[in-house]
Amino acid sequence: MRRKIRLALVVTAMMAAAVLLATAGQSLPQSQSSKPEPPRYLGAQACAACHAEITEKQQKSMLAKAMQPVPDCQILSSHKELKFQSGKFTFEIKRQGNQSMYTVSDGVAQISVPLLYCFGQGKSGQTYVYEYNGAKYESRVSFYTAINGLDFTLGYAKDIPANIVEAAGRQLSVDETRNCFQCHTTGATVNRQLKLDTMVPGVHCEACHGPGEKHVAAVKAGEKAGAGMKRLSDLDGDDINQKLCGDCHRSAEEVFELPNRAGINSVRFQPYRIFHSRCYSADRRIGCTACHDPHGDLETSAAFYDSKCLACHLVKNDKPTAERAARACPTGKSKCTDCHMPKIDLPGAHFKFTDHRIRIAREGAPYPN
Amino acid sequence: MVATIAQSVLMFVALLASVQDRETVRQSEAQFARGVEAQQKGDLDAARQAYEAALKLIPQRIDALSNLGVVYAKLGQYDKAAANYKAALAIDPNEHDIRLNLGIAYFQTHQIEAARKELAQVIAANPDKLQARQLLGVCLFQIGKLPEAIRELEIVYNAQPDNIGVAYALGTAYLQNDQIEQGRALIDKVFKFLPPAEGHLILGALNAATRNHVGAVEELRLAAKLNPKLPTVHTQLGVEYLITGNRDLAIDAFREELKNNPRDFMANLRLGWLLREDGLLDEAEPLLKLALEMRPDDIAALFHSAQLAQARGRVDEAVKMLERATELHKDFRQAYVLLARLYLKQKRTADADRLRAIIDRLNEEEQKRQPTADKLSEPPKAIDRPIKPPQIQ
Repeated sequence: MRRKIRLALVVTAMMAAAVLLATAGQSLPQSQSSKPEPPRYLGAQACAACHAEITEKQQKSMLAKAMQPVPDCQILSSHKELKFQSGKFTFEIKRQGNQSMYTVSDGVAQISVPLLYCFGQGKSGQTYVYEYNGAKYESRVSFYTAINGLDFTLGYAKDIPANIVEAAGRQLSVDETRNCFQCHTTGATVNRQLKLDTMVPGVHCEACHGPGEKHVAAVKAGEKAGAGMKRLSDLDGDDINQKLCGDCHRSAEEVFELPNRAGINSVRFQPYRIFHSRCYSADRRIGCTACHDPHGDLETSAAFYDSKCLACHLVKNDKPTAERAARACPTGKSKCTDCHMPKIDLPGAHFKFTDHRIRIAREGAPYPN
Repeated sequence: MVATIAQSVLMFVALLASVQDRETVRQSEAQFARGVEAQQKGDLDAARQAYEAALKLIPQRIDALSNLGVVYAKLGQYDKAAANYKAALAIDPNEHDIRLNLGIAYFQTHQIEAARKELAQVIAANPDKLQARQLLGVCLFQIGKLPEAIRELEIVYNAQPDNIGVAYALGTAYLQNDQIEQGRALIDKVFKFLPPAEGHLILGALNAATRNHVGAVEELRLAAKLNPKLPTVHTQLGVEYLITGNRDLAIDAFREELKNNPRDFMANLRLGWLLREDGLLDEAEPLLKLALEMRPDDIAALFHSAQLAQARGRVDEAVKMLERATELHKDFRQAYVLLARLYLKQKRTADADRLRAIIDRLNEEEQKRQPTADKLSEPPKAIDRPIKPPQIQ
């Protein structure tokens, strides 16, 4: 048989198209799910109609003050003038009525903008957000309670500003802006779109329990009380830590994505730290809410926390039970956190953070990553 | 006498069969010749009919099978082309030119792994077949095996330094593999030969490789504007949008890429991952499934598919994927974290503790390697040094 094979030597000289993968010209199956109108946030007043006591308590909590608009900001109201100098740069925040002007100068150029939002309730400090040329910026300086004044915002100290705009702060990307408001306010995002006009400053009931619209409608319709709400009581300790609280306080998975995770920086990320504790499990007794009430203020008494440790751990000579069998501390039976959850001084933060990696913290031992 | 008659009948039948065979061969040859003529004239439909007629008469004709495959390829019907090439190779597996065409047909239908296997066979039999090696390099690039891709493309480039196509491919592979200077040198060489859209695309890739992500977005936007169908342009733009913190634009870009190229691995993976994060699981699932099908050992595809399975409540499936991911990448701490958490849900506390011990060990090793990684622990410095303007390319 004669061979007359004609080959399709298709590979062309211009391999660009090949590298970039020739397209088949097919169209994408249109499987995009339509986004139904999400349930609306109703605000804490709607919750208070039935849950008055706990709502009132939560409104006074630190979480409820996680973000404040400048007119309502207690720190800026009580500090009429704040100043900070670094090299040739001067940073100043001046109260004018119910507004605060942020002015940064290098002696030649100057930028002056009104601050808009105060992030952080001030237990350790507070950072400010302002607008410049249509974009949101994070202030280069923050207020620190321990020094009752301004210093560099964490992570800024080593930056060399290229100009006065950079000296004043850092432009937040679209995603960063959304993430800031998502964690420090309630209802700031709907279908991932930032809705600053309808958001409620601070973390309130619906931030954790979900938008209340369906629930209120269900209750009004005579359905059982829990209808339409997330069932947070179904969450195990791990989900509380890594999902419910970890979404904002940084889960263990998320922290591994951070560029400067290693070292002492991670002490601020409690879900990450507690994940590394030897006693970590799915038991709700190790969940954040076992020790911290999101409806109230932070407990500071050592005895309170002792009771939480002793929910699982025996005291010397105790007999183990099915629920309580973790071994007894050989050296003490109170002030557990003093030895096992040391306070770590984070340089630049002017604050000692409790390390949530529960362990035997020996004097002089390095901080475990 | 009877035997003699019988013999005569048999001889007559044999003679008749031989005459018929010759006639069949003659007719088949005539059809084949018509096919070649039509093909040369560019009348592909007539050529297809002629080759099919030739094959109906003699189904085992390698030449007709091969040429019919070529016609189908030119008609864009690569599945049919591949079927004919395979039929030809079943008759003679040593027809390496046909195998090369089969590799090309697979490549054109985005069956990259299948293409890679065929092309590797061609090169094993004929190491000087540069065309096959070039395409093999491209396939390896596509499936993320960058060092292997670079090795193949370098062989071709060294033999054909004026081959702009291979220079472009190799330059792109260098950039992806963080061999920036080598990549830049080749890009400089080919840049003037590229159409404008491709030029902006490669500049975008170069900016991305050198961490100038704002510059990369600008270049890639221009490339996409000049040629919205330019393969991978939207995927690369989507990745840069993510890096520069614009997730919504990234989602739009990946969707755009998939309209043109439904089998783009990175667009499927990234879009599936983002939609999963948004809780749009129905939409995310087929994308991640396809990504994992395309690269079963890709740890990102495994990790995000596991996250999706977990969100769907399919914990056992998620566990298997994460076990595979951690087997493939023993330093993959995020996968260990998620796997440990899933073990806790399965009441496998000892397994969870074992993984947390691995994470601890990895953390300790990291701490030893980077004793000064904690940048915030350094005291703040006054910002009074000379100011340098940012370098934007």
